[in-house]
Amino acid sequence: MAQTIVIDPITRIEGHAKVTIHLDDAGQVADARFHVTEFRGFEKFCVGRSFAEMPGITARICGICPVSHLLASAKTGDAILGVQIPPTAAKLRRLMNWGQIVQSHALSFFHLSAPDLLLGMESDPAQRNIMGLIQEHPEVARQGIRLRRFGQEVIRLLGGKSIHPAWSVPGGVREPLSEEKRSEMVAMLPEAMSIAEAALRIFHGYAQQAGDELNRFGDFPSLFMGLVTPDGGLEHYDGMLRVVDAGGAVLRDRLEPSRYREIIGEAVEPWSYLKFPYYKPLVDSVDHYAAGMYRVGPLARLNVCDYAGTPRADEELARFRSLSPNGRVVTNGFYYHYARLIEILFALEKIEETLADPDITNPHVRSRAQVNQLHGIGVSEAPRGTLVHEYHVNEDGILQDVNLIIATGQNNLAMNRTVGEIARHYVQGDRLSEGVLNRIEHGIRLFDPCLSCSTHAVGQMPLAVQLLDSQGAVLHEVARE
Amino acid sequence: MSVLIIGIGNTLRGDDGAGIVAAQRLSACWRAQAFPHVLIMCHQLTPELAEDLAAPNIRAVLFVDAAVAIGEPIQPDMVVELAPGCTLRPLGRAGNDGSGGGARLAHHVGPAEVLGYVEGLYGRRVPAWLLCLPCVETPFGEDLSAPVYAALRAIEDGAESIWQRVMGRGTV
Repeated sequence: MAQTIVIDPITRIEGHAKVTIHLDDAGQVADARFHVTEFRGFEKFCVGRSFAEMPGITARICGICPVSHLLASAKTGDAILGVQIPPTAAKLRRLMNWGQIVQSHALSFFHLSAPDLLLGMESDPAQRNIMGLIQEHPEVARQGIRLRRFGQEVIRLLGGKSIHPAWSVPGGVREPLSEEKRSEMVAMLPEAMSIAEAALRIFHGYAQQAGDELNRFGDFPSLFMGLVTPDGGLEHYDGMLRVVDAGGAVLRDRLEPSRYREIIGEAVEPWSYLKFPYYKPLVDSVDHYAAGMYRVGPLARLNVCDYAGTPRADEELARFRSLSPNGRVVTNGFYYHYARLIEILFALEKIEETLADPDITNPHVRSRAQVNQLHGIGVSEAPRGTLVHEYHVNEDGILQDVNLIIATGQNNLAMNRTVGEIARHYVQGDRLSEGVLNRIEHGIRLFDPCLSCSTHAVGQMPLAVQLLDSQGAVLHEVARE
Repeated sequence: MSVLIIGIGNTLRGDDGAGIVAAQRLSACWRAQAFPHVLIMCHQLTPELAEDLAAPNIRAVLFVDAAVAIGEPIQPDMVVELAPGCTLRPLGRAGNDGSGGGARLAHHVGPAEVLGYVEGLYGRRVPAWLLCLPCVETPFGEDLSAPVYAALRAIEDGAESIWQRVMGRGTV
């Protein structure tokens, strides 16, 4: 009898997600699906508003990565104005983006994943959480808070507040950086760098003792996509799109981000509100879109770039690449953690370098113009991966059509594949152990999916696990408060 | 000594923004009466807020949020109903008993977890309260539902009493 195992985190009324694992008649895992059941609807909501409002509106999609939407939206606005923003404004936007990468990656590593890495996948679930981490490793928890605080402070000092700063606008940014604020950021850097190095030691320590375990979190060939600088360096704000395959072959290079539709198609499934982007050139029809699976985010960015461009990040990048049989592309999803930490190093080094630039306090930070183009596309790298905003406006700048391609959606196919691989290895019979559940959750956490993009209310987020037969009857249910 | 008000919500999702609006209005009332407080508004709670709570000048914290359902109160006799669906209640911290766990897929933490951080990392036990508003409709937009407007009026009318309660000096 075919069976379905359901893992259903009932979150607050923000994005819901659940995992279903489908067993075949022989009790083997046949398929796995990561469902997202919260319809965000921002694209429709924005139609009829002015494009100039979009940075402020779309930043409210998410409380963790508002800067990503802010920047992609402002870049789209730049294209509609048809202006080149002042060089200092571009540097300041980059600064804010790096600040966000630090705080977002720190949350993923220290708060969400460290309990698993430091307390163990099989440890008591009542203790394998942030409270358990505080008890067992208070210094690690404190470091996570301090590193997040650094990133948030960079954003706050630039934008006036750390959440939803309406600072980046079409044409540049609203406020230049004062000398006083520049000094504040510089003073915070040594502690942040020290914490980033400590996080790397934690990761390497876990990797050394984990053995074969870390090869079971989704190691499969896929494509990887991300922005790179014109000469192939690691990039988070601008640049060109590059796509590589698992063997390291470059399938597409130096593609202007505004031409993303040449390579990215979008499929939909009735069981998820998340779109399924795919790499079009490898897909003969949308029915077979899964053949175009690609990954974005930290792992992909390190796989597509030729170099990072800062001393410590390049040093770690070389070590990262040594994990790959071909010395270039790392396909094991577990190394999303490592890639995240390397990106934190990179961001901190770039922040230091940028703050040392005398031009960074230049007061000329905004270009002004009217609507000059009726269509604009803005692409940047969010912590979770490539983010695309595309707007069509009328001559008054009123939005006629909006399309957003978010990183979590682009990783959708790979998340399903990851869950399937973990389930195939660990699920046996018609019962799920805590260790299995946690590994599946951890497999999803590797991508750090952003489901927190809508509304919320105070409440717990219990984990309900159901085992269903082919008729939908519940055979076994486990709930974790 | 100050009270830290933390307003939580997304002001572009109807009643989900009620916590932000209520925190702003309560802050305005307290400011008019020279009640010392610090106001923080956020889309969702994040771990580093623990540093703000642990500051030596913070005597108590008041989380202000909209909610559909928040479960059983830890001290039922101390829950005060200000308006239908609008309550003021004391909060406890998350313990190492699974109450701070859950599925770590989302990026927010709850008030109990933030309080757990404060006690576990900074050794401070800050009295905490939740001012909870109703959450009836969450469409895209800034409009609030009628129950939320009623709750906001009750909060403004009871601002001084809320202050006394949170400071441990009286009843609402």
